Amino acid sequence: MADKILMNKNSLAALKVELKEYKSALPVFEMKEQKLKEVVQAVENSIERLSEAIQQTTKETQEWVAVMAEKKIELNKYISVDDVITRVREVAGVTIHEFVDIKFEEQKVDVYRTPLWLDAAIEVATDQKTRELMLQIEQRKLEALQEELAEARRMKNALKEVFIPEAKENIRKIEIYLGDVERLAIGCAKLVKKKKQEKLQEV
Amino acid sequence: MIQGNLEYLMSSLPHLTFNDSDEVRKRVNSILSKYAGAAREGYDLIDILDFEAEKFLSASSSAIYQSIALEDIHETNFRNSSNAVLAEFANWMHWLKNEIAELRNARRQKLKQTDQRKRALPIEQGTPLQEEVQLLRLQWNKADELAVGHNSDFSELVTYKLKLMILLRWWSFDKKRGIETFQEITKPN
Repeated sequence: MADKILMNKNSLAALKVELKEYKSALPVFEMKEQKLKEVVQAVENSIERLSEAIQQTTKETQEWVAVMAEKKIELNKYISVDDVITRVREVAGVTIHEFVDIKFEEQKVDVYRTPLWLDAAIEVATDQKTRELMLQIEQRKLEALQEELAEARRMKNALKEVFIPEAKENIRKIEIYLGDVERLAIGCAKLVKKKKQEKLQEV
Repeated sequence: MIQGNLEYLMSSLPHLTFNDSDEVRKRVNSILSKYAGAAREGYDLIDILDFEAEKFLSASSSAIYQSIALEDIHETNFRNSSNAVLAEFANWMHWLKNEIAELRNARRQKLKQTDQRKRALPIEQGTPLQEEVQLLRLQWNKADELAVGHNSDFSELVTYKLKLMILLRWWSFDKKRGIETFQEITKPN
């Protein structure tokens, strides 16, 4: 748009086509922005809920977490993730991964050689790890959605604030210019006609 | 540690009480560490005890003594031990671990009879930490009961080691390190 415009009918026609395209693209970006805002809000809510649940579990576990310091118990081997299953979905043009399920490696617990607290620790730690992984997936999803939302906003604003007004202004300028040229041509033609008539009368 | 007979050994060992105060921990740690000397600095207290006991025991008794561990005290070799105190404690631990195993299986299957099973175990339902301390107290009491009537003999040395192992398990419960472990194992990869 920064290029110098050609003040002719072809440019005018091209600009009118451009303006039409801009006007049809604007609602698309507005809708995309709206849809993305809704999804972003939903993901933010989900992140908030997960964060709260993680904090709550951490708080509740603190009462007895001291047992997890027992050196002879390799708690880590009981909380080993085998697979995280996600589903790919497209939301307003953004490809996102959604959490479906998590599978932990099955470890046999020897109830004679391990302490009683281990069962509670495995249960709370697998739940917490699941939430942490879900949170990680949601955060990545939010990142991708926010990026796309920013892009949609940029496009909407560019169309609304720059492209459409500029196209309209250029069309107005060309139309004024072409109108002036046309009026000048008519004026000239009238003057020529008048001169011719005066010459004929003299003869 | 003073060289001599088993009486010397028993009298030089720090007195143990079922207590997890800093004072008791420091006293037991410092006495055993001092006796162990600089050569064994940083050693586990059980290793120090085993090493010191070895000086006063026959090779076979020392081998039995060193093999005592709370994790596998329920095994047949301990239950059939020629030492009556060790055998009785092992048999009692076998019973206790059976009870705990039933409770754990019931809890895993979320069975209704969990509470009934718990009644077979003389512990009150609480947090895993509270339940573990109750179990340790039961074990301590049993070891204490078995020590009665034994004075500076192998059986007393056995009950001393059992008590020390029970205390060390309790003392290993540390909130700060527990939180670190919990955070470490639950962080997403």
